[in-house]
Amino acid sequence: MQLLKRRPIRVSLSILVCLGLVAVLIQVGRFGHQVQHWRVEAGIAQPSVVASIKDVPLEELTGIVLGALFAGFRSQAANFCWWKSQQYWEEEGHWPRVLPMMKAACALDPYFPEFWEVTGWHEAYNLAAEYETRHLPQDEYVKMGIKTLETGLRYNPQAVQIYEQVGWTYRDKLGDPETAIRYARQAATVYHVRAGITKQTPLIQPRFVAHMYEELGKPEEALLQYQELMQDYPSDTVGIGATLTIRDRYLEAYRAMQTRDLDAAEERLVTHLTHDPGDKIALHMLAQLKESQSDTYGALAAWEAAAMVWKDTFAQQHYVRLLNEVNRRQTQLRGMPFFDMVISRKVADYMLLPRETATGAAMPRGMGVALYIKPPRADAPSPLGPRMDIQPGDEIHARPFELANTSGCEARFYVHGREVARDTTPPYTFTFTDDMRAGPGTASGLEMLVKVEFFVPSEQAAGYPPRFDLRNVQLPEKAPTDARPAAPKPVITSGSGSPGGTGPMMPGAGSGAAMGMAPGASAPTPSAGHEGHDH
Amino acid sequence: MTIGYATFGEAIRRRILVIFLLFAIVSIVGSQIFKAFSPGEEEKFVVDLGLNSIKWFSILIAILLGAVMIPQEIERKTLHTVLAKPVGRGQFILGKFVGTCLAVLFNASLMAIAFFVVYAIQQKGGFDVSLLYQFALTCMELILFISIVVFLSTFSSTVFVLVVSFCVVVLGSTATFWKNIPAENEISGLLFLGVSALAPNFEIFDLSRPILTGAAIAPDMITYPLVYGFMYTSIMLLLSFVIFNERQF
Repeated sequence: MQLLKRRPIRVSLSILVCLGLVAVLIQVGRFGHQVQHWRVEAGIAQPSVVASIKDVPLEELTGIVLGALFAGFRSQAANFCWWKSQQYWEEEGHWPRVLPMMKAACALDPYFPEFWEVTGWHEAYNLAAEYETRHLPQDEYVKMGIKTLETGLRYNPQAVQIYEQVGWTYRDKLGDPETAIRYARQAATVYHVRAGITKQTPLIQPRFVAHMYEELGKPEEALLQYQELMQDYPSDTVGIGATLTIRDRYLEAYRAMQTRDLDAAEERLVTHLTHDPGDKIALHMLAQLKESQSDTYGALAAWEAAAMVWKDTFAQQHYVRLLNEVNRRQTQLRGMPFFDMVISRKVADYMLLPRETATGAAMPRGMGVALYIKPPRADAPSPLGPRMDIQPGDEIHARPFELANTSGCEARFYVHGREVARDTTPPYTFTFTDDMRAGPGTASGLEMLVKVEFFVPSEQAAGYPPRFDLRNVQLPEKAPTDARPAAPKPVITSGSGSPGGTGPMMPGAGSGAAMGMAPGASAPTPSAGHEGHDH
Repeated sequence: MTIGYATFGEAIRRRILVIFLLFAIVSIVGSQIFKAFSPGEEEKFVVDLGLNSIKWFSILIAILLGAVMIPQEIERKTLHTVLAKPVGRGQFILGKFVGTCLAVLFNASLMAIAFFVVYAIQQKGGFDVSLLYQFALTCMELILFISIVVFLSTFSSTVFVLVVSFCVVVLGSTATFWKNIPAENEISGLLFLGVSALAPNFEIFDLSRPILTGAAIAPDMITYPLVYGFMYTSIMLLLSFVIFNERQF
């Protein structure tokens, strides 16, 4: 104030100049925010912390991370979270701690594609494998992983590797080659747009798409893809080999199918399968051919045989679809009390387990059937559809429907993977008790899994045919809708009786025979053909 | 210029180069630690650690140098000796600013060279020219920050400059956050508005995303931040001139 009194004009001028400069500074500040906005739009800057972190539970962010974040160390905070997640995973494998850390890293640094890629992969693969049946069905974790990857794509629409990962997961875990093709094509488009960049690895995308077409039983489309591939890479040995194989093995049958000359197509395929029973592409085509002929059991046998080939999730999906259909019809046909025995893919995995790879020491593993019980909490959602409602006191009977001779056979009952009972005399029975409800996941209203496994003596197992013969099953084309008489208390039977009984669901013989294949061709091994270029 | 050289010499005498040594150790040790990660993650961690260390160590030097350079001259009364010579107050401020910039940028350059070497080794001989763009923007960011420190030191004490400078760093690094944060009442709304309007936006000088993803960097994304930094620095220096000119010792 003294200064103002002494030199009022000069000081006033100075104040005015300062105010003017502050006004200009505000405009410069606006310009700065506009620049940041442009940077976000251009994808080279991250959105506001507020926008991206809102999905992360606050309790999962440690004080260190929050402190670093608000001091401007956002990227370092993300790195810290990632580092911790890797430590948890390697040292403890403790998913409830690993996953939130990974999610936090993704939220803090959403423009780093590897975080999304690895997190989605962990969910779809590791978490699905380790948590399966204890918390959620496997497919739910796979879908969770895919959702994470797709969220990553929102932030990183140029990240070729995420498109590839999503496509691969759809193909590998969900048996959905069509969606896999869509993502692979998007990956290719993005790759070509970004052709100028130097840090991306070259794509194997055309091979992948071609192979997906092969899995779909569309050799002509696959051939076109390989031809496209060989325009860019004329000396690609995979492309050359696959082109020759497709022309030699599948193309003729496929064209016959297109012209509805189904007999000729089947003859071509069966002839080929006689020499190479593990050729899954031929099996896929045969299954589709059988379905187009309304030959459900022929199709089922073909899908089953294909599913036996190395990890063919596509065939498994179709096998389960048809198996559920057969089961539904059987249930209605036999007039049993209403229940839905949903055969999940996991069950089918187990049913398809070849005897040769069984791990039982004295007794090879036999037939397994999984029955899901309704969640303890009535309103709890059931991700796999309706379930049986089994109450304490209910008796569960199980019969090994594939075995003609059950002497020496032993049934083992499991709830949540814990063995709860054994029985060696038919009808194999155990009584469900309240304490069996206790298990991982039940407290939070998730469902329980009851599994029955049948074990047979080794010497006896050798005499059993390796697969079921579905030809003996007599089913009406259209199941009656009113075949559900009321019953006071359901007796739940996993599987159904002996061959020639009141309704054998799947008595044994050989699916290879069902498909017209040569004897002994029913337990195929991975094809030695051009399957070698599988990714 | 004489004042600038003197300030630079004084900074070197303060052994600020020790910080460079510290940085080199951090970079090398860090790059070894991150070898456990996948190549993409390793690169990200090394780049984040390197670029941020350059920036934050340099900011630390700028705060420490800037907080003492003018208040100490006033406290020790050496300012009178300087101003007794044919040196204007504006020249004095400009000299201090240039000297501090030289010291900080010299140190930053040494750190950048060390980082580039570590990065090239990690990339097995590869080098990304985007890193040079990033370094240019970091230099502009440091110049802007030094101008703020100079501005603060024209009218306050060492402790005040230290505290407020640190606050400016935090606010500037989270400028978008303050702009977007929802206000619960009018007072906080005005506060957030004021902060987002006046605080420098350090976020626009960051190019680590395109460096890591390999995305192309449009020339605008380099020139606009440079223009912003130049304008902000000019205003800060003008404000410093005006205030320092009116100040009585």
